[in-house]
Amino acid sequence: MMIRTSGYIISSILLLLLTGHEAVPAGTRTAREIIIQADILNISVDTDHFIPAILDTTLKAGIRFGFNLARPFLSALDPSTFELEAVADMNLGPKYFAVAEAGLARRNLKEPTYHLRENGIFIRMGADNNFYRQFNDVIAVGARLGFSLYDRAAPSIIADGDYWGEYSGSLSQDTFFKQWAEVVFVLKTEIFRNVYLGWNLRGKVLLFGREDRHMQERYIPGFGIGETNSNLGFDFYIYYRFPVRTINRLQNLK
Amino acid sequence: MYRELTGIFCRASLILTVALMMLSCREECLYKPRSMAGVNFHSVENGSDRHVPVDTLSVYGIGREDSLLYSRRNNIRTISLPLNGNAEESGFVFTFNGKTDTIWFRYKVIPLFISIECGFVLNFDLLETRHTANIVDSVTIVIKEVTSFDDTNIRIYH
Repeated sequence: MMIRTSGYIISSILLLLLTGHEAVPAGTRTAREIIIQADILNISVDTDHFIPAILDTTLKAGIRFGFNLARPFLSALDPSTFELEAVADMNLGPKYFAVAEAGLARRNLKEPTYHLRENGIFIRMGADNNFYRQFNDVIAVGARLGFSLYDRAAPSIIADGDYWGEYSGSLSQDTFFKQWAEVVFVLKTEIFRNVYLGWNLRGKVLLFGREDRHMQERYIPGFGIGETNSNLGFDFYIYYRFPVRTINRLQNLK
Repeated sequence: MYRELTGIFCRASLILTVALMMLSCREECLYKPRSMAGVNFHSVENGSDRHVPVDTLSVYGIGREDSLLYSRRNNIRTISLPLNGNAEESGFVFTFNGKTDTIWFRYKVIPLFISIECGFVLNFDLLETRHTANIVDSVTIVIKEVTSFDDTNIRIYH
């Protein structure tokens, strides 16, 4: 659907504009680069004293709150859907983050042959393993467990009936609870002090939940739209981190 | 000079956007499936159940006498019957070689949302059947879910 495509294009352009600044002065070297170069030149570096003296080798830990930018764009471009999502993560150490994501989703499709309403909330919980050790940026893989509670109703349905004539009916409201698992690839980059942009790429698999016999193409808040028990997700986020403490990660560089 | 991760971020965002453009393009509703009850004709001969053809078959729905679903079809083994979504029961008049029987199917209507473009189609859950017995010996529900898959839902023994 072109509306959705346009949303992603606009989101990407915005992100490119926002990230196109010089975040670090030219010539600044990371601790890792200095260690590698010293090793090549066969120079002994006292990393316990030399590197901390010239480089920030600490990781600013804290709670990072984020907001999904892609969803409001899509909602603005496609008035039949309205979705919001807020996320939070917190360092559990230099590598690990605890993550919680929650949101709401609504779809109200008014077409000539049907009216379909779906409303729900979702929450995802899990952890990320950050394998990027420079600056305060994050490249991570993670896992999530997702839960969604939503209801569905179709106040009017018209279906073809070649022999008997047109069908006219409705579906009363029904409530569903779904659970799924996700594998997530996470990227977050600090564009200003404590302000981050990031995106997530998700692979999702439905685990449990009563099937809706009336929906071949399902709309599950937090899981997405689809006919199968698996789905892909892609979202842009903006974050703000509230620094709480620092973690010395020099040990991880040696 | 971009920071390393910022560069990765920008490049990956562009690649993912192009990929999503390809994934998120939807087409119009090109094919809207129809759910028909599949009916096989059977006969028990010498104690064995056989799928046998019938000669000169005509079928119409009760209330649609003006519109024959099958008209004097010869050597036919399998037929498909449309069920009436606006009723809980559909009756069909079968004429086998000039002899007539009526079979009624009771069911539950299951509207099924296919997609945004195609909207809803109707599936059915067969509940029970009844029939007259001039030629028809019995009617059995084999698969109760009537969907767009070409399943055999009913066996008519004659």
